[in-house]
Amino acid sequence: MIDFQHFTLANGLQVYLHQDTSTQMCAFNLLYNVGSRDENPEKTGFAHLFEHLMFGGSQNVPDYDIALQNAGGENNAFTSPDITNYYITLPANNIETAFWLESDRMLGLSFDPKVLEVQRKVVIEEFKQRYLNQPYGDVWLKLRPLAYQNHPYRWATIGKDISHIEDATMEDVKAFFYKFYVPQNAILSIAGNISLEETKRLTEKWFGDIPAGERYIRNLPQEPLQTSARTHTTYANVPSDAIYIAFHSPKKTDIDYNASDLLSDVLGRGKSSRLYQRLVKENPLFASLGAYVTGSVDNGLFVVSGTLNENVKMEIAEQEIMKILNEITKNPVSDIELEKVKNKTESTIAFSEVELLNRAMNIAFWANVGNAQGINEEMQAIQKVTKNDILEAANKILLPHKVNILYYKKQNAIL
Amino acid sequence: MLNRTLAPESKPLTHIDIPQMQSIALNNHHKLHFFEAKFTQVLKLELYWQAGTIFETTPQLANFTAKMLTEGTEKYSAQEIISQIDQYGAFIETNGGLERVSITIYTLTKHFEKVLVWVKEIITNSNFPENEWLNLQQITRQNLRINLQKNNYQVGNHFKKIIYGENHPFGKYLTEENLDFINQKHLKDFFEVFIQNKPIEAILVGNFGENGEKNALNIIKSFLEDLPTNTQNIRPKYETETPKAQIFHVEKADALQSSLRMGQVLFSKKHEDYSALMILNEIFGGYFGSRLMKNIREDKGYTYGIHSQFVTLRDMGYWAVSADVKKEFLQNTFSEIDKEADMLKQDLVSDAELQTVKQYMLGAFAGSLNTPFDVAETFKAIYFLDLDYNFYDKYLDTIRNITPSQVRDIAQKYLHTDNWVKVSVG
Repeated sequence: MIDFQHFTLANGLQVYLHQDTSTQMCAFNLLYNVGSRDENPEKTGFAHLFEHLMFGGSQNVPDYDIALQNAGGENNAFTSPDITNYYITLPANNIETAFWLESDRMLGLSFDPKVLEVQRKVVIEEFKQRYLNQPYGDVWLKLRPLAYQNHPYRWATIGKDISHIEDATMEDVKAFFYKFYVPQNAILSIAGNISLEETKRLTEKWFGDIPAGERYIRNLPQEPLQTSARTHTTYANVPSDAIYIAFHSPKKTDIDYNASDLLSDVLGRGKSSRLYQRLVKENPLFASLGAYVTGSVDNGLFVVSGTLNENVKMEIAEQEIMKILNEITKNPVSDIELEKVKNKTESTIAFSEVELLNRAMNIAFWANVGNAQGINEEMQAIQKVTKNDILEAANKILLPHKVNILYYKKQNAIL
Repeated sequence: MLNRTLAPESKPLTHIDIPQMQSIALNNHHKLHFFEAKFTQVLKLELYWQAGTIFETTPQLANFTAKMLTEGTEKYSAQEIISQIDQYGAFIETNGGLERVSITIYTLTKHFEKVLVWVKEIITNSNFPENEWLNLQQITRQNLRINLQKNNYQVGNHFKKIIYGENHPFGKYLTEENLDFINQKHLKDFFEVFIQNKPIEAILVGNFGENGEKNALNIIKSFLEDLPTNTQNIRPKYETETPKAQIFHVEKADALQSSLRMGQVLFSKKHEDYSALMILNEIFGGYFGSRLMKNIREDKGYTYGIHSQFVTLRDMGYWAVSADVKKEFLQNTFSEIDKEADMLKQDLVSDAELQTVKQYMLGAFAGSLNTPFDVAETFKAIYFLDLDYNFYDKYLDTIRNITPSQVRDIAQKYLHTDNWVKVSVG
């Protein structure tokens, strides 16, 4: 059970506090409700590029990092299709520094052209390091546009193409900032050794006078129901073939989400899962094989992916996976399997809550999808999932005529 | 009116409380180290045997022996074992490190005793079934081929070989030839000689649960007391020759980036200059605000990240810089690294910069003591090197008291990048 208290400033900033007096630290997590799904299709990769610019100085603080380090703090940030999240851990007696720094960034950035020039280069190197210069690094650059035709999940957070990052202008930067980086579009979550009174005082003091800004009403193009199977074949210089099979699946807040998550666990989480036992161990067609759901805020994907062993034919590999997926739509999972995946989830949640920062982050995440108590209700909801719920989920999700398959083949296969 | 240009006063961390593990020596050579944290519902158990890379005759034999521990015993198949452990929602990891082989269990406290039954089964009765080894061999071969396509994996191999020397077990790396060479008997022998019935260092942290017989501490004690032991393995000795400065490059025409690693062999944590060197390392390339990050990433944009790290082992250590950089700027990056090193040898760091680093390091240290898992890490980092908690007092004292001229002295003594090995791929 993660206890927390909640209040909202007049300008719309939502604040959550999880007090933990057993530590001398605080975790300070500021979530902005903007991700790559909110980007213009012609200017993708922008939410993430913007995250880099947030470290290039704000109106009154020329160097964010030095100021934070002086207070003994560490920080980082990440951008996903759904959110941009900034977090700090620092000694509790220096928590005011976090309020000062983050409120100043929300108030306004330096908009220094040199910062844009350098971070543009850094992000391009990040694009190369993580997506282009790694075997299989570009899978999601190819799988997303196959699985999503209309919804902005069709591009990756890093962007569709390096050129979008190369072409970003300072006008784009400013427009993005004033649209999304406003109190009404942010959630502050603090975990650690600080009282509610002190949290209120500091939030009022530092964030209270920031103008509310205009409310962002999200109105994204929705994904039409898929009517036929789609496949794409790509060739790259990799040592072995790989297959990525994606079905549309419920969003994180959907009533059916937990069943879809447990279904993916039965099929492909860990070495005792069906796919691993059958196709890595008993009939070793794959060197690695797993299944998972993306758990996104809009409708997500149910993904089965694996790398094939040498001399295994792609068609055979696909067929064998499909056989196992088909079985699970016909017969309910066993009691033992159901208990196992519930136990796994229970222990995963319990382990993730040990870390202070995770507690702050998870509260912010749940608050952002509209139900902060979700953090404490999740496990109960999972316990209630029945074998029949999983069977129904399988029949709704694992539809062969609504599949998206990316065949990732090694280059020399075509030579 | 709020003055936003003024930083709130930051208070130095004058006192950092380091939670300490407790240790018990059991009468049969096993040792138990523990720390209880009531606020969790979980436990982490680690078992260590002195049986790592240093004992092996073929690269990765210790690691493969560790990986195979969960793959079958006389009575149970790999599937039965992993299904049982998974059934309780527990996670098991096995690992072969440089000095030690280890098993780590993550479990809900309420399932600890049931999971431990399976731990006992594998550490006493593992029998390394041939079909499972062939399967692991196949998977490893494929992963190795993938890894060999990664520049930073290759650079790590070449760097290791040069730094430790080809004759030292730490300098050897996995190839398809030596993967094919290992057979079931090698694994079984390694297990029987170095792991089975050998002294265990057990580390237990988390919530121990209710008092009495079912208390996790009592359970692990009787678990260890029931395991027979014979004498500890004798660690082989190897001389490490100090590598001469050399430049080694593997060209890859189609690479978008080059991975680089440069470094030098130095001392272990027991050396009197260790703490001062850690501070110098932090300034040089240890944290986000370091000289290297400021120059190579934040000023020039050659890279997504560049880091220096001082790594210490049992008897030695090495200092290394690593980065993935835009290919055309590889040489510039090398010379900028030299330039930054020269500046640290010539000029005093400013009081402000040193103050920032000190505050950052103290804060980061305090932040690394937050969870029971952190408490175990802090303990292992000294215990396995025969150091005690006084080590941290000295470390923190050095951070608090070091002066700019002492930082420069340390740079002049050790930061000779012209003598460093320089390896790059891409």
